[in-house]
Amino acid sequence: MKTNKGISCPSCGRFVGAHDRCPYCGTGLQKRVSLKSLRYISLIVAIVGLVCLQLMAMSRETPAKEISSITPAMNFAYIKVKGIATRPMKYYRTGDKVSSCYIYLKDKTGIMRVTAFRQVAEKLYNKDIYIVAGDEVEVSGKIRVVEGDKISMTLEVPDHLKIKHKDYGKPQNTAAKSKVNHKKQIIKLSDISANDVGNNVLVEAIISEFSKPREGSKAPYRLIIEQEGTKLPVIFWQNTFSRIAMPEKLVSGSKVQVEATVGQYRDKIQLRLKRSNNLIFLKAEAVAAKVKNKKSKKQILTPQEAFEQPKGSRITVRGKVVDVFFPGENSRAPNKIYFETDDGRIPVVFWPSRVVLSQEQIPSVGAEIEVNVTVSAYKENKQLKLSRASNYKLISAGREADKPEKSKFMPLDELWDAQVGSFVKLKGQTVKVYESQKETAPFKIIVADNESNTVTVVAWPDVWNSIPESKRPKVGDKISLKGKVKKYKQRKQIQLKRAEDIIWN
Amino acid sequence: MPFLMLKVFLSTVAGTLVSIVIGCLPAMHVYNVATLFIVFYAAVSKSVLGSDPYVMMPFMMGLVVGWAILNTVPTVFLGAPDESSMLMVFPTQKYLMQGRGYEATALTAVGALGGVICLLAASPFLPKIMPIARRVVGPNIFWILMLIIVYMVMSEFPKGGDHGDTRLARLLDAWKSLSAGILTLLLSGWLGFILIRKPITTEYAFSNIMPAFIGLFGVPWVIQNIISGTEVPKQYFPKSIDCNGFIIFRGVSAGFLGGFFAAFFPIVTGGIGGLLAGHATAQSDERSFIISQGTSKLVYYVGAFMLFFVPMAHITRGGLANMLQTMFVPRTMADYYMVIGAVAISGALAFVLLGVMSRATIWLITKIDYRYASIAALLFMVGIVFGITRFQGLLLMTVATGIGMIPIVLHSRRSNCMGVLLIPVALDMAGYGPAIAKFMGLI
Repeated sequence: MKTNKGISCPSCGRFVGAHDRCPYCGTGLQKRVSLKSLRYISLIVAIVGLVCLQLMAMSRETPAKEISSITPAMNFAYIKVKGIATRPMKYYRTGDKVSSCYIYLKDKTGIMRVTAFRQVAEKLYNKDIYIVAGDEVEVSGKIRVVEGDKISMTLEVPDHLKIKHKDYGKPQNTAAKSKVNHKKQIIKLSDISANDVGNNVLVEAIISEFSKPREGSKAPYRLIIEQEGTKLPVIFWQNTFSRIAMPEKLVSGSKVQVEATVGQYRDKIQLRLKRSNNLIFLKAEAVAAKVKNKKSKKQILTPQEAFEQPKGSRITVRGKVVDVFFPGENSRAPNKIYFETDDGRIPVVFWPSRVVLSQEQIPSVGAEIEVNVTVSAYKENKQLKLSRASNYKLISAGREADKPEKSKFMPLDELWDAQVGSFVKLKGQTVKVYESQKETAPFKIIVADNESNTVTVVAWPDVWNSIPESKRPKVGDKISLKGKVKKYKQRKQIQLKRAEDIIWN
Repeated sequence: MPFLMLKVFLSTVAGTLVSIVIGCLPAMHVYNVATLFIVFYAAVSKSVLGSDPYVMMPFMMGLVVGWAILNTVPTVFLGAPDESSMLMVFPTQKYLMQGRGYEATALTAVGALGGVICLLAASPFLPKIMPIARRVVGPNIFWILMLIIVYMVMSEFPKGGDHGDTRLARLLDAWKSLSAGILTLLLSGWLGFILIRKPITTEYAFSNIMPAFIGLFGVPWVIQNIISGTEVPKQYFPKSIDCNGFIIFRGVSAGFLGGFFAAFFPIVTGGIGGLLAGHATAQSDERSFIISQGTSKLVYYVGAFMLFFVPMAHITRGGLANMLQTMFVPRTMADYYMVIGAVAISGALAFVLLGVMSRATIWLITKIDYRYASIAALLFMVGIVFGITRFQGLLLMTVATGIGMIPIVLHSRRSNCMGVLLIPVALDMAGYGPAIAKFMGLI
C-alpha cells in the first residue's frame, strides 16, 4: 500500500484524510499549506457571503406576478398577487382552534386559492379580518403548483394580506368590474318579497336572535336577522351549522352577510342558507355601535306589562322571582322561573339543553332577574320564552335556601306529552285506590294536588305486592312518589317501578 | 395492456441506464439532473406530443434506483458523496486506500439490494400503514425534527483534547471540531432561512435549493479531491466478500430502519437516518456500517419517492416527489404497483451494473488521474447552476461551498450542513418560521 504525504499517518501508516492530527495515534501531521489555508478561506467565504446574501434578500422587493404567469417551475417562490376575492373568506377550525382559512382570488388572467394555516389563520381571525366577494386583495406568500396547474398560495404573515373592501355605495373599480363577474348585489331585507321566492339574494344584516332545534327535533336552525327594523328568519340544517367556522359568533348583535335562497313557509318569507360558506361574519366594530345604540333604547317591562304583551313580542322583563322549577336532568320538561302578576303567575321557560345557567346564576325565590324573552303561550297560558343564556341576568340574589334542587316535585298540571318516557317526582293526596282484579291488570291510585289536578299512578301486582301492607297508600294519605310518565288511551299516567318509590310525607 | 407494461418496462430500463452516467460522475446528484428532465418533460407535455406519466414516472423511478445504487462508485473511488452518503466516506476510503475499493462497493451493493428486498417486502403493507402513520406523526413532526437537530449536535463527540501544553489548549482542541459542527449547523440554517423566504430566482424557484446543495455537499468534496492529489493504490478484485449473514442482516436492518425513517420524515436524509439507526442499534463493525449505509441510501431515496405513490397517504417526501407533483399526482393502486415493479426491475439491473461500473472505474483511475473527473464534475456543477439560476445561483453556491468546507477542514460531521433545511423547516412547522423571517427582514 502506498502512503501519501498528507493523507496517511507517517507514524502508524493509517489513512487520516484531511485530519491534521492522526485520530489513531495522535501524531501531528505536516499538511500542505493549501489545505490549512482552506479553513480560513471557507470561514470567511461562508460568513461574508451569508451577510451579503442576507443584505441582498432584505433589499429585494417581493416580485408581483399575474396568476397566469405562475408556472410549475415557480413552485415555492415567494411572490405578490393582486386580485379580487371571488368568494367570502372562510375560516375552518379543529376543535376549538382556528386551523386554517381560505381566500379565492381572481385577477385578469386566472384564479388561485390562498390559504393561511394555524397561527396565521388565528391571527387573522382574532383581528376580525373578513373578505367578501368583490373585495380587492393584495397578498404575498409562497406559491404551490400541483398537477393540472392548480395554483395555491400560503400566506405566512398576516400583514401580507391587504384588503380593500368593496364599497357598494360607490361605483366599483371599472377595470375590476369589467373582468370580475359579481353575480350578486347586496339588497335590503325590506326589498325581499314573495316575488323573490326561489331567487338567491345577498343581504347584510345584524343577528337579532339565534335558536337551535331541540335535541331529537327535526326542526332547522333559525337565525333572525334584522336591518332597519325589518326582520327575516334564515334557516339552515345541522350539516350546514356544523360547517360554520365561527358558530360562537351566531349571537345577537353580530353583523353577517348572507347569501341565501328566498323561500316561503306557512306564508312567511324566509331565507334558506344552503352552504356554510354563504354566511360571513363582518367586522365587529360597526356592529358594536349598533348594538350599543340598540341596547340604550331597550325598554324594560314589569312582569305585569310583560303579561299584557301580544304573542310573538320580543321584550325585556325585570322582576322578582316568586317560584322556581328545575325538573332535573332526566326530564324533558323545561325549567321555569315564575314572576307574579295581577292575573296570576307567568313563567319564564327555557330548556336546559339550550340555556345553561351556572349554579351562581340560578335564582332563588325573592331574587330579581332581567330577561330578554319572547312572549308565547302554551295551552292558552302565556309564558315567556328564554332562548339564550346571554339574555338572562341575575340582578340580585334571593334566599339561598330557596334555590331549586336538581329534582323538585313536578306540579300535576305540568305533566306534558314531552315528559312521556321520563321519570318525575310528584306529591299529593290519595283520593282513590283501585285494587287490581286480575294478574294482568295494575293497581291504580288517583293522586290530587291542592288545585284539584289529578293523575293516575299505576303499580303492577308484582310492585304493589312488594309494598308492605301497612305502607300501601289509602284514600286521604299524603304521599310523594317517583315514577315513569306513560301514556295509556291518550291519558298520561305514572307507573311505579319499585316499592321504594312511594314515600310517605 | 401489454403495450402499457412494455412502456413501463422500457422507461424503467431507460431511467436505470441514464443513471449510469449521473451515478458514476462525482458529486452529481440525481435531483439536480432530474430538474433538467422535468423542465424538458414540461416543455414536451405542452407540445403536440403531450404528457405521459406512464413513461415519466417509471423513468424517474429507474433513475432514482439506479443512481442510489451506482452512486456508490464515485463515493468509493472518487471520494465524492452526496448528503446521504457522506457518513460512509471515511470507512470506504479506508477500504480504497487498502486496495479493497471493489469490496467496499460490493458491500454497499449488498446493502442496496437488501434495501430493495425490504422495500418490496414492505410494499403490500404501506397502503394500510402509511395513511395512519401520517395522521399520527403529522402533528408531532416539529418536535421530532427539533430532537434530531439537538441529537446531531449532542452526539458529536470531541475529537482531540488529549494533546496540548495547557488545560486551555486541550479544551480548545477538544472544542474545535464541536464548535465547527455547531457553526456549520447555524450558518447552514441561516442560509436556509434566506433561501426559503427569498428564492434566488422566482422563475425557477422549484430548484432554489439546488445551488445550495451542490455548494454544501458536492463542491467541497470535489475541491478536496482536486487539492489532495491522492494516489489510489492498486485495487484487488476478490471472489468473495468479508462478511457473514449476521453482518448483512444487522447492516440491512439498521439501514432500512434509518432509511425509512428518513424517507418518511421530511428533511431528514438517509445519512442522518443511518446515523440515528446506527446509534440505535449500537453498530460498530465497519462492514455492517458500509452495508447499512448502502441500504439506508437506497431506502431513503427510493422509499421517499415510493411513498408518493401510496394511495390515500398523500405523502410528498424528497425533492423529486415535490417537483413531480406539479405534473402528476398518483391516485390508484395501479400507479403504486407500477412503481413497485419499476423498483424491482431497476434494482436488479443496477445491482448487476454496479459490478461492471466499479471495474470500469478502477480501470479508468489507473489510466487517468481521477482529479480530471473531479474537475469535469466541478465544471458540470457550475454549468448546471449557472444554466438554471444564473449569477445569483453561483453566488449562492459559493457561499454554500464555504459552509460545506468547514466540516471538511475542521473535521466535524458533514451532516450538520443539513441545517439548511432542518432548521427553517422545523421552525416553520412549529409556527415560528414567519416571525423569525420577519425579524431577519426577509419578509
